Amino acid sequence: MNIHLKLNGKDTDLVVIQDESLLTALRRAGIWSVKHGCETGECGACSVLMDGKLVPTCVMLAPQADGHEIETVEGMSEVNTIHPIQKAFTEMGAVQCGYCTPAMVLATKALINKEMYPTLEDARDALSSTICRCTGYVKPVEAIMRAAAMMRGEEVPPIDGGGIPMEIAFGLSGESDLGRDLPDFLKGGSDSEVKTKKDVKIAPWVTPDSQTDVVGRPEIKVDAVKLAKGKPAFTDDINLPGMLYAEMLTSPHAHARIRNIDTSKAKALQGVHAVLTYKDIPRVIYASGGQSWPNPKPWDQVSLDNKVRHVGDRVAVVAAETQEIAREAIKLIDVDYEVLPFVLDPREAGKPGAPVIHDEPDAVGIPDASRNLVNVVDAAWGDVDKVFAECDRVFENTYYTPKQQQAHIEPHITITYWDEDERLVVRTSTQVPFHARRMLAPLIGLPVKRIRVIKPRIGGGFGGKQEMLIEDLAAHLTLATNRPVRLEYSREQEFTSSRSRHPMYVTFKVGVMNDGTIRALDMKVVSDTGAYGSHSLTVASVSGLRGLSTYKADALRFHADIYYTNKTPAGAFRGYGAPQGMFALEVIIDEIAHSLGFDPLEFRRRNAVNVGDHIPISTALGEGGTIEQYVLSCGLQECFDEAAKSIQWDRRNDPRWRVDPERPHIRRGLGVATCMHGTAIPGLDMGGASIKMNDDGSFNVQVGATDLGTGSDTVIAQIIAETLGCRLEDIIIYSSDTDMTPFDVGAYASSTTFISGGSAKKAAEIVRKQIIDRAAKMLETTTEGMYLRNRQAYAADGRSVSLEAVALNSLHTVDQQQIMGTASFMSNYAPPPFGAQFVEVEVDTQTGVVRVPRMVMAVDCGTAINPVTTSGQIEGGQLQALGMAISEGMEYDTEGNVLQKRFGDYRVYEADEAPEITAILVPTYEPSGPYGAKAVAEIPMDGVGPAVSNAIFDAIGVRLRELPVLPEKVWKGIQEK
Amino acid sequence: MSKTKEFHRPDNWSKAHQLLKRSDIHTVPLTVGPRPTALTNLSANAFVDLEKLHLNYIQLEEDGIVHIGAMTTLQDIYQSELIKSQAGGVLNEAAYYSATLGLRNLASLAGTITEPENPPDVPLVLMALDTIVTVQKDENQTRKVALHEWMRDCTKVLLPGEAILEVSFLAQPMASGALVRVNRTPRDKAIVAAAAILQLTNGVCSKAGVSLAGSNPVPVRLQEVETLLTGKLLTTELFVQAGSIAEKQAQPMGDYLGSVTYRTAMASVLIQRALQQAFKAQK
Repeated sequence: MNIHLKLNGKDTDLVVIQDESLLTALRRAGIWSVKHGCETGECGACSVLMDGKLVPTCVMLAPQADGHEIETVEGMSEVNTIHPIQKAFTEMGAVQCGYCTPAMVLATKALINKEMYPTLEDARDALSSTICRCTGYVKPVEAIMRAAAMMRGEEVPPIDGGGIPMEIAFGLSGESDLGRDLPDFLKGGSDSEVKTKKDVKIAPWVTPDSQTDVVGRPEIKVDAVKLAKGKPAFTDDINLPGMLYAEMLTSPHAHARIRNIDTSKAKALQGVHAVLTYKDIPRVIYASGGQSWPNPKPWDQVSLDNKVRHVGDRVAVVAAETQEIAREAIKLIDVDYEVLPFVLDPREAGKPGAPVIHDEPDAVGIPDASRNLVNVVDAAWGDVDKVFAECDRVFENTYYTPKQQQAHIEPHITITYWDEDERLVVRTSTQVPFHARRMLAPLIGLPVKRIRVIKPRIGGGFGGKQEMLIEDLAAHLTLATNRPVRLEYSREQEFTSSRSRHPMYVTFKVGVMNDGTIRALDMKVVSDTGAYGSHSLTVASVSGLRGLSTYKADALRFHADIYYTNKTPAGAFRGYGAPQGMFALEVIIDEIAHSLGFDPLEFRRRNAVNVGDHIPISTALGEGGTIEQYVLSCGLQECFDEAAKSIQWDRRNDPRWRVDPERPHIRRGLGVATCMHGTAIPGLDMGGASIKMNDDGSFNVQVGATDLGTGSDTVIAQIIAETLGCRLEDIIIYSSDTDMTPFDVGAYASSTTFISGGSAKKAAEIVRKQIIDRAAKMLETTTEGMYLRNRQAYAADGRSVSLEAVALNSLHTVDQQQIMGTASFMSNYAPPPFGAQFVEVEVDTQTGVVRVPRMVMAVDCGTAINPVTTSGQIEGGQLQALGMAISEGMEYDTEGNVLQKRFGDYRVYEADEAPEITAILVPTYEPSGPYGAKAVAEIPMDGVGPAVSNAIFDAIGVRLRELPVLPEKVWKGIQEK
Repeated sequence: MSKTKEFHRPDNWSKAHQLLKRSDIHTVPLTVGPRPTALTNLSANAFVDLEKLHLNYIQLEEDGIVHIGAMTTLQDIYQSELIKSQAGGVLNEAAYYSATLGLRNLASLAGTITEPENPPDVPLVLMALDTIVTVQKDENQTRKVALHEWMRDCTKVLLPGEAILEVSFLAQPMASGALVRVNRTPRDKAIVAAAAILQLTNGVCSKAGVSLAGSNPVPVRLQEVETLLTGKLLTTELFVQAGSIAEKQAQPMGDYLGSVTYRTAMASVLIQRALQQAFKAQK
């Protein structure tokens, strides 16, 4: 049918299908800014303004727009112009992955149209219908306030500041720190000074002349403008001629064998081009986790199997002319299931008589499939039993962390097609394009060289896309049909058929002396990997690594049993085992402190590791081999200081604060947790970068690094711009394309700034040397004392030549040469970032409801290459972690069906209910990282859960050892007290 | 291949009724609630958009009755000054907590009271306000159903050919109200929720409306509690008694968010709290 509407101010006629969504119709009309995130209107990514009001379009029938006025961000600006709201979002760092940004921008427009002087409350309400999994809403709220000021004609403060001292950034000799051997202080000797916080001043105290020009500054993200303007930047934002739409048939049973599948009716449906089952494709065993070669075992998956192991497991896949036909075809597939007994509890899965989930003979590397035992991890350091025997007190308890879902707003989506050279192009939303290419090749029978994986912008990943999850199915369908194929998960499939955090039972035993010294730590884990073993070994290892690294001890022991269950598989999720281990550790540390009569903060200060300390467990649990790890930089004590001051830690001793006379059933409390994470996988993670100089002195950069919204493209470009003495806008960065960019392991393990940034810096140093060599010749001087700054190459005597002149000289005039450099970077160090997490709670003593008014996290991530993107990571990470603490956890019914299949039921914090979130950067200088940087991406996940639990104990004296702290759990604790 | 579903936007009740009463094709009024169903999961084969029937209104009539049209959005209710003037604005609060801004702009009152999985806040408050639902039977006829009866099985009240016209309740500008909720996060759908509306005359409770959700299979109005309170001087002891009644009448279904024990206990806690808050506001 035809509908008539005013679309972005223009009278528009659209031909729509009566029962299609407005979202679908708008996207077909080229309105790419309107995004699919769910099908129930709850994520808000699909929102438009209809007659000036924000509405979600996924739950509107297209004909409902007839006669109305529809506005999208496409109508807000033209090429080379930007609307003040979009500008404010880019300037304030409110754009991370950018998938929900157009909806937020529209919400802002609707608000400011109505209220030129919005309050913070108005801003939060306006943003409430757009779930943002990246930002924690802090910067989007700030962007609204800035946009309103701009639109009122007020002058707004410039986005500037930051930087780090040049002598720190470049070292006294001007040489890079990268790749050097162990720092001198670890060897002893006189030259043992380490650049730590005392050497690096925070921005306001630094004189401008001595600062870096790009590194350490709040540069606008290189992709922010296009994302704020809703440009077609994501996987699904293309139209390919002849593209088919794929749908998956998934299992309704938790465990069943497929006796037979009849696809004849589905194949006969007009418009269906392929129906694939296990009968149609080769059986190739693999592991879906996106990890380095060879993928850690077990290898326990095939693309399509004759057995299903969880509700939502793959059964068949269809490609058809339209999505609707594909859905119809799915309904026409007859499957004869032999339903099998199933097990949902990992503690039961290993017992005699439990159903065997992986009985297939061709699985590789399952230690004991008959007991559903996926992996066992053991590690120890020191004489554990002897040290425990020497301890004055021994504490032991078991803790549980839930099956949290990544809930990135852009679902998994892949489009596959043959290019003109008959090579398979896989355009996919992945964190691991290079791993995906390598892992995909054997499954579809093509050599790696005939596959090109392109990663456009990603609408959030958080580990959920560190998986080769659906690329194989789309590829099989393209191979079967020779047509482009698009396969996208629905939101429900994200819950039933994707990945999650590994739920874990962690039993911690800690031996201490009465003087408060920790002597021994013993950690036992039972991990639930669900139906497949994706990431199971390494996640559990990281739990142990993080759980046994934070505090000094004379003896350490770790044991993990990882079991299959008939639930949705677990996988990688931001934090990667650390949140599970750190929850147990930081709660038991709190319990010990209270039991021994110590202030929990002081107890942590006393026992935490510091500069120069050895991390002994890392040799046993490191994925990259037995590499000794030391703490080279540590600002933990300063983190404690700054965050404690911010949260007003001393309030906990004030009875007037603890009780609210207006709400007598409320008790207030504060909790703290130490955070220590890793930076990349030492000895394993590697990234590459290539840089070439253009005629105008700009640079094209190709990096394998995968920016999943975190801002890594920007950070890498900043590192290069600083090294090459140019501006950020002189760097044109292109990332994550297996044909065009160097290899990179991908975006995981908090590695990108450190590893990919390291390779970028090395490549830039190669280019810098070439520029300086040529500039010296042009100036007829020596390279001694030459440096690059302000787009100029300066000689020691102060004369200079522009980078443009150097480029023209090299490309066209004398000894013609392409100035370029390529480098890769791998590190044997995994420098730990540190953090102090504080949380304030209010506990309702009658209902058990826990509210969190405020969270504060101070983080030592070395040099923050971009303080805005860095603080954005910390803010967003804290809110994601708060979800795990308060509301997020996948639950199953007795038949193995996940109970939360939509947002709302799966409760992710919205803007108007999120607490006040504070991120404090404590600068240190990490000698092994580019410009002193280490990681920040995952550490915000580590401390919120335990800090919430500890705050609840502080408030009401009830110890919660299980997340999330649903009201009934707290209430029960109060009843049993 | 299934047939494409029909979409209609009639401009009068006669046409709407003709469409809705068809027996050969499953036809329903197109309403969206605060917890929408995915379009692909909608079972009807034809939708009738009531946009042109002018059902978006909030009016106080001369007879002292507040009328809210079926297609009035939750955002309109949230922002209505008239609604703010009733029972301390507790219905505004309920509308706000039912959905975030975008869905409040889309969700209608009719959509809010026709889907049992919707957040209970608006129906709870409306029940406590003693609300009547008016159903347009056909072009000329209407019928009325008390909302607390309606909510016993809100999916089955409408018969073929019918659509909700409006809800109405006696204006209660002097009453006070409270909506209290137990949930995971502040805006989360309530695990258990209670609403109380009180009106005092010379210190005596002249009118009480009390409702509860999450402690029974469907939201319920606690008329026994209302009877207990009406005509009495309100005291903490009475509220405790009210809580006991709620607890005794509770027949919850337990789930991962709250066991039978918890939901039963919360029935008492929240009814007492709602009454106390409403009483405090009245004072």
